[in-house]
Amino acid sequence: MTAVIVVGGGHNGLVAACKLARAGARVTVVERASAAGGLCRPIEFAPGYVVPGVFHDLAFDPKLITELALGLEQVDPPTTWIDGSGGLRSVAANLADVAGAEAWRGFIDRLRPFAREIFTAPPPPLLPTSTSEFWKLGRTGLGLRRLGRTDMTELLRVPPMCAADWVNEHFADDPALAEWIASAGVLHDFAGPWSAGTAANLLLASMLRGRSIRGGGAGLIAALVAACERDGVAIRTGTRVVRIAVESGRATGVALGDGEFLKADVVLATCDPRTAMLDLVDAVHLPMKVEQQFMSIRARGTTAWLMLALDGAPKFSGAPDAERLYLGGGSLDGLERAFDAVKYGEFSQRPVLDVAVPTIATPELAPAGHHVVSVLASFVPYELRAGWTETSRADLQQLVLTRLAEYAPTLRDQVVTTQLWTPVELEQQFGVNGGCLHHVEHALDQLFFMRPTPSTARYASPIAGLYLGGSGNHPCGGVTGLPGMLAANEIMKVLSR
Amino acid sequence: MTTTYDAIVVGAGHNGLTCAAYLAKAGRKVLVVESRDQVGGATTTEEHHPGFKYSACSYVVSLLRPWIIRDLNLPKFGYEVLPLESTFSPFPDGRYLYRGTDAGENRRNLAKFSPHDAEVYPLFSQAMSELGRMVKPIIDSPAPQPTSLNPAEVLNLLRLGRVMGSAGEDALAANLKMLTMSAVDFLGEWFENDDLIALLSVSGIIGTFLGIRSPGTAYVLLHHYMGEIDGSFRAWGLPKGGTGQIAYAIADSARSFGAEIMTNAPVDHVIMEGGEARGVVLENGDEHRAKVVISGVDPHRTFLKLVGEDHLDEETARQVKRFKMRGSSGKVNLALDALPDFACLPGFGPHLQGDITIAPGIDYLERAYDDAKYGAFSKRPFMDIVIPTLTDPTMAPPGKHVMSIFVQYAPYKLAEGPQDWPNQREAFGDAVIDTLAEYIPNLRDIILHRHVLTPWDLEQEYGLTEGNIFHGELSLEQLAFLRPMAGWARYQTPIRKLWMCGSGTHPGGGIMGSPGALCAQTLLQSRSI
Repeated sequence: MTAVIVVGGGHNGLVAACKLARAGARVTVVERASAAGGLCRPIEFAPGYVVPGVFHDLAFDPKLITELALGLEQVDPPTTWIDGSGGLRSVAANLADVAGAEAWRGFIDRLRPFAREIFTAPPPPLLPTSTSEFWKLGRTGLGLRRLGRTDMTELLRVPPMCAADWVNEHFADDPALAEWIASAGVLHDFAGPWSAGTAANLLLASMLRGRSIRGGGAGLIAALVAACERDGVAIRTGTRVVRIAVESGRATGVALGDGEFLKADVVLATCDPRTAMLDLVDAVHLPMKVEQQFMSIRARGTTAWLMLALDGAPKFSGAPDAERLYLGGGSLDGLERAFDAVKYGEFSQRPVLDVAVPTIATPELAPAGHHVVSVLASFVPYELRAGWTETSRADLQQLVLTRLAEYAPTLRDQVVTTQLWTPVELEQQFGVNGGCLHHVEHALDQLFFMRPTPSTARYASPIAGLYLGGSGNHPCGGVTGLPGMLAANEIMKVLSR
Repeated sequence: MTTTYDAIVVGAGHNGLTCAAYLAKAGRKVLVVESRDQVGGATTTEEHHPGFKYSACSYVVSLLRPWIIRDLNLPKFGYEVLPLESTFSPFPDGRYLYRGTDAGENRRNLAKFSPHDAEVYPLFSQAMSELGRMVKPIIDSPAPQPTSLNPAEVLNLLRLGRVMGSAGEDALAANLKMLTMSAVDFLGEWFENDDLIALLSVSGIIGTFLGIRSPGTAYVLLHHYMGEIDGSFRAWGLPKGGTGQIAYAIADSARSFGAEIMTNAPVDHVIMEGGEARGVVLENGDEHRAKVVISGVDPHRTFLKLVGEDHLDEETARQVKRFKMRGSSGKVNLALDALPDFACLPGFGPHLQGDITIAPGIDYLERAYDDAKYGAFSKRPFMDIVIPTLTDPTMAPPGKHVMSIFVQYAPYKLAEGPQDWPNQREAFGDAVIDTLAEYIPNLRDIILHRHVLTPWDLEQEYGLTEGNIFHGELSLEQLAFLRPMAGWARYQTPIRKLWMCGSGTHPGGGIMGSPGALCAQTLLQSRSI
């Protein structure tokens, strides 16, 4: 029986582990935190108060729910309230009214089948070296042509654009809505809506956006852990991998923090790929070219996470039961201004807030009658030029609370306790370098066959038996399960030989 | 009386002239109509102060294709380029970087900023030149058509893929990264010193509405490593007699082949009959007819002003309107009584004879960009300066000098609207002089005359829509088969018998000549005339 070690028990690690176990491998997941889940791990930030993971949006692949028999229920995501002139308004109610929305949606919908083909297959090699690779590339080309000339041209035109220009072609009449739509192409990355290439991120996000899961990230992780246990995967939490052992160019197992050594035929690292290749693998085993590629990966976190415990429901004016809010800069320029700050190593004085109130749908996350609010605040740099101190942390928290109070005036008085994680704490808590929530920034040169590096984009690494399969690989970061699934597929090809 | 021409070229910029010259050389009867009183468009030498000649707009040359120079026999008509051999970059704190032709000296100078970077610099230059060579075929042939099912096009695309692939996976990956990265990120993979990264990154923003941290700027950087003079790579030079001399040379060449060139002949509109372009009507009412009309002006002006929206189908109108112009730069030309004296390196020296860049730091440049993003000219702009009189003394009276200052950013769309530029023109000029005076204490005392060109002026005087010096942004989604619009990147347009040959077509702006020459070749191959 093939022994597989999965380094990192985030959702991608669990997906891969479950798939490999079902294919007959003996799988052990090693997770350094005290519970599995990675960035989706539920966080009890104060006794009795839990937030269900960092990400507010899930784009978990629905086919995996069936394939791995996760028993999860898909639900429609809650409507998002945005800050237009004249108070909060619901996006779902508004999008229909906007001229341009139809053309936009039509393009996205027509593209989806092709996008799914791309997202559920490993990226093509940069240069096809075998006939089968050549044919696959040809098939992709044909799929592209099947879109028809207009959509195909559009698909070739849009990715290098900046999100702002693309969005403005459709939504220029509604600045607040345009901003909200564009924000999906820039948040958590080191980019503003006027940065070229962010249209690619936005396209990616729009393609993946689908239905959500009941229970959010926490529900997903619970189901994945249960499925893993059912299928015989051993999950070792609170255990740190300190080294991926390599002998004669082949991965042979992992050394743990307590000195134990786990032998393996295959090691799959779903943690931050830079951690795997630069910290866990001894540099002597890596070709210099590959090492350099990993050293030049850009992963600069720009998001801080503020968790709030409230003694009652937050009262957002005009949107009392809002589960999701996007409190932006009011326009594309407003979002851009928020981004400007991180270029100079400062945090935005008017941060853009992505707000979720998970206790509306899942009251058990807080004591009876109480609520939790999860706020992702952008843009906040990992390297604050003045240095992260208690004062700067307090300043940031005040800025976020002040912005929230613009919409929920009583919120400050309702706060029981708070927890603020800047990109520095996000790095410590989740092992993501630079506090970058996508492991590797989404940018044109770090997507597709360049993700995370040209030498490891197809999950296998230059070291035999060592694979990468976390958010840093194709197709992207966020909660999709696809990198884990695709890495497991590659490993299974070898196992079956 | 009406003569029927084979082709009428609208606009006697360097591309229009090149196109006309090629057509005339092939025996076609060609008329060029130009609205200004002299040929050249933005390739112009002008005397705004007695005895002082300014290369008013474009000011250096490098990309003009060697095969065009040969084909049109330009040296015979007075084309001569004098090389610019150094770059001098002062900093406000008294440091400076001088890079010349002596590798050892460059290394010592760079080492003052970072010993590591001094080691890397020659390797970097070599790598860039190699990448530039790989990309160069793109600017010497018409754009590939990836959406076409025509077997010839598919083969063409496969061949391009093979050329790109033949250099190996590493080079291909590097090229793909170049296409998409920001100049700062790209340079950050080579260099450690931020000030040096800033200095090297500025080639990536010239003429674009992008900052050095904006993705896509690494490619523009590469564009500047493709320059060549007499076959030597990476060289920039000053045309003798100013850039206008290039236009005069091409115009004389065109005339020698029999082309007719008419100045002071602004076009009112293109004659449209039966959905076809049949000629032009000048503002004075004169009509000139031809088998084809070739527009050397930018896509906005061509379709929205000369043809008129009435004659466009909805899709074409939409595509033209979303083609981004967005001028981002201005120009200040100075007549000087004496040479400028830099505080950090006083007196005369080779540092004055080359290119002088004011780009002290990544944050400096990024803040300059931020000003522009929100509709204001940069309070502290990026500047690219040359003193042509040190290379070509004929540009000014003996002992006097001219200084050409390219200034970025100056956004066409001011927060107050573009029409406010006349009110802000002098303030913009002041910002340039104030900034420069921090480096050159004697500057204010030696200025005899100041000529300020804002994007508004570039539009009003030279017909560059929104003051865009490249006839449309050189961003990825506006290049190659998308320049100026999908399906029409081969110099033909959706209007029958209307062709385009300006910088708004592949391969784009700069004194390159390729759009004009490639348009003429494509037109001749099509056997339309």
